[in-house]
Amino acid sequence: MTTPAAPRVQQLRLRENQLFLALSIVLGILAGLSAVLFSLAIDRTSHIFFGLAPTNLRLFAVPALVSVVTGLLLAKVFPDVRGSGVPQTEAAFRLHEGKIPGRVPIGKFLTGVLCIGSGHSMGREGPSVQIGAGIASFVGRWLGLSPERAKMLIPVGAAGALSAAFNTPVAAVIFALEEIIGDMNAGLLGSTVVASVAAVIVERSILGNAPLFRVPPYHLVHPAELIGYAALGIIGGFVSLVFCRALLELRAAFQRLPASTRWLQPAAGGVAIGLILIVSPAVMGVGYEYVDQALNGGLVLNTLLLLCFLKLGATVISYSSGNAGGIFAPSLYIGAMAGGAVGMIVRRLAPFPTGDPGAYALVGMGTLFAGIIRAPMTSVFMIFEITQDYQILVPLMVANLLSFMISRRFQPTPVYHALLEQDHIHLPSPVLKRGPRGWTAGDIMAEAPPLIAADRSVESVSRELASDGRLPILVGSADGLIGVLRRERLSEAVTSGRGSDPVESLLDASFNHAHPDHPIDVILERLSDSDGLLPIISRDDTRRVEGVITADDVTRALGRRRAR
Amino acid sequence: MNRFIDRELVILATLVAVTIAVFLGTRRFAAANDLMRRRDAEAWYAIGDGALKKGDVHTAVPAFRRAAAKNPDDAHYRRTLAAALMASHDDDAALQLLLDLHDQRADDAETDLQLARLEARRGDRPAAGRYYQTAIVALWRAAERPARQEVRREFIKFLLEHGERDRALSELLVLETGLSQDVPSQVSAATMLLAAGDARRALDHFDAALRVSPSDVQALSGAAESSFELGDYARTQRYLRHIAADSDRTRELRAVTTLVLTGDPLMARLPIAERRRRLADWLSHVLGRLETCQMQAIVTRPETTADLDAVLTEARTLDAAVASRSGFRSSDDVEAAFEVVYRGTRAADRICDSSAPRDRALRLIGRRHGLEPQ
Repeated sequence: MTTPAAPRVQQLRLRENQLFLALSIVLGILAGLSAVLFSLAIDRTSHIFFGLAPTNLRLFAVPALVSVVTGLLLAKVFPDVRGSGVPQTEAAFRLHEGKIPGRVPIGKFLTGVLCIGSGHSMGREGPSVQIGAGIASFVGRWLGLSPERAKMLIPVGAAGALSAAFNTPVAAVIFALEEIIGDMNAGLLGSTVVASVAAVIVERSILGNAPLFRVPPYHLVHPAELIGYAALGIIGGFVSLVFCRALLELRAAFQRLPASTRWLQPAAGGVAIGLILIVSPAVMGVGYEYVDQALNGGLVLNTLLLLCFLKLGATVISYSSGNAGGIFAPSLYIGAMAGGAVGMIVRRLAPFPTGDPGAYALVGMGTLFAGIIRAPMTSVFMIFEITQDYQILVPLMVANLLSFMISRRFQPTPVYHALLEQDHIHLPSPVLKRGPRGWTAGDIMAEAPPLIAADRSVESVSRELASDGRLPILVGSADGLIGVLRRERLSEAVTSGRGSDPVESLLDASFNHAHPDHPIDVILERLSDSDGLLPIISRDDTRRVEGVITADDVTRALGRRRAR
Repeated sequence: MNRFIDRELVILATLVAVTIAVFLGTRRFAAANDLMRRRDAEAWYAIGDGALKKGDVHTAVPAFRRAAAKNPDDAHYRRTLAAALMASHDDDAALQLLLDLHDQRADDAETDLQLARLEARRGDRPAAGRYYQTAIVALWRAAERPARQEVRREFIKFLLEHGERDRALSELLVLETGLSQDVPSQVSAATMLLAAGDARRALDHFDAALRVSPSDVQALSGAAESSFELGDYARTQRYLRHIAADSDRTRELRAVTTLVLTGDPLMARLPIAERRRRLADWLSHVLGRLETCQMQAIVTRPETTADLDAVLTEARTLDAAVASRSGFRSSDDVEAAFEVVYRGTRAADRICDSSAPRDRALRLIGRRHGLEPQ
């Protein structure tokens, strides 16, 4: 039986939905405007810094000197705006109830403009996504929306920003679903579509209808040409792998440096970028001008190979050293150069008629995007939107699939997630989020024992914990958990005369763990693979131990349930 | 909840106001950036143009490329880039660029003209012809009519170079309708008509040019050539008389026409003695030529010597008759004898062709009197 107030509540809820739709449109436009402004500001800043034809001194000095300023800003004022912005947006959506601090979009805009405008080889799309999502998050909080509603605005802002930044509204929606939400069946489709369309209309009304790239019509010249595209997919997969590995390794190396050097790290990257720019200014900034040339057959084989190699190196350096900018555009750039080069080689060697190398450059863009960003659907739709040509889809899908498979086989964690893991953040999988809400690790876990300091000697730890059972020991530092030490290794170290060594030297590099939201089946599986103790660590900061689970804890929980 | 909704509406209205303000600000910023890019494009274009003038295509091509990238709306930059690419022999890239431009601007005559030139250079005659035609039928402003005529002239020259005389003549017909009366236009049209094989209309245009400028050497030479083609050698001589400085061609024309006019044994109102003299003169020339050719044929083409022997025997018999002064009392006798002379020279031509003025004159006399179809 309904109360008399029920129709009124229903009416208000309907109005709230209508307001949310209106908000999606306004936020789409605002996010789109922010992306357009960001792009214009980068162009203007680059022009101010480099002028028309910069000298070698200028090419070297600008990135180095500007990076000192951005380094200070990134270390002291805006510590959470380094890098792309896409993984941070994902983390905000999946872990922080869609909360992005108000300083983030401002800081990202400012540092992004300075970094990319000063010649760092980075993209503008990732930062645009974070700025758009940041604006949406701020507005959601300003309006006092419920956490669930406010969270729903994140993909809306992200799709709007990406749609305007890349002029591909459909790909922007797919990207928001595939990457930010991580779920292609999301119920947020309507609002992201609305935001994306609103943003692209505004973008075109300001910048005109011209596409981002001028692409001649390409098609498959001969069925055997699919072999050439398959070769491109394989090469693209390995180039993606090299890019991801180099990026993660160098970034890890920078992270291992003392925290006091953090403000100076972007400047170190700036010096290296300055040297690269002297060799070839074509790798400067976003670089779509050169992608356009590759698509139109304007670059020779040697130039394509050189630019592919230099852009890869420059992007790895710029990103790893902690500058603000994305890898979306660089992946397209590297892909266009690699694709163009493969196209030229195929044309020279193939015994069958082949298409223009520009067609390979176009497919190469999608291939590298699928391999690096690991968003294959976005990649296909993006290229389809750029070309508006159905004919290129089959070669594109073949190459994308191969690149995606190779990249996933040798680098199981996608680069955005691996970057988050380097920042001690573990994202929940979308499948987990959708699963039935039974028991989770948070319901079962017991209080964690105090961490053993990593610099303590093996002997003192062994003596102290001699009568403390057989369970593994959690070892940490001032920042939190570092690793797990197995008792056998401790005993072996004592008997082999390594008693004075620090326990840190005995730690396993990777150890089984779970997060508080993991369900019971995952807990049991991981517990069986561990030595009897499963640390439960925060997703937000993987160095923070929330608790531990042993077989006894599971048994106790089952007992409690039976008692109920 | 009601109050919440009202608050939402107020904030939404504020947001809309902020959005409008940001939109207007962004548009102004975009316009300023656009201006900056256009200026950059102009600067790059100037760099490229300077380099191209010095013949430095390696500097010019990247500079034009940057100009085109900075201002992609300006087709001129892309066309210039295509021209620079052609200058650097990168025809494939130039073609790609022009085709792209052609797709975007279907009615751009300049792009079509560049495409036509490029295809002509690449040897794709049908494509070149197609682009020339689309360039001609593209949208031209009234002030651009001379430029359009120039494109048509270029197309006609292209057709003539490739032996497409009929198509050239039909284009010339269109060209004539809007042709200016000035000397260069008339001479140019007449020259092309002459090359296309229409000497009659060519002569009309040369005459029109000479009415404006009677001493124009090009018009005089062209008129002489046209009248020569028409077989009016007296008129040819009249034009040639007005040419002060002889070229190789006018000297040759002068020699051949003089030989035709002074050596024709079948010319009307000639005394029979003069006819005989001229016939004997040609016969002696042809006999000498036949003997030389016979010697040559024994070595190079022995299978033809039988034919040559027959003609030579006939010519020698005739020579004997001319020497004995028996017969040849009427024009008909002279005409019959000249026919033998003409057959002799054609037989010699088949073995050892000659372009000497005397041989050319003999052929022309034969043609003039219907011994060979024109």
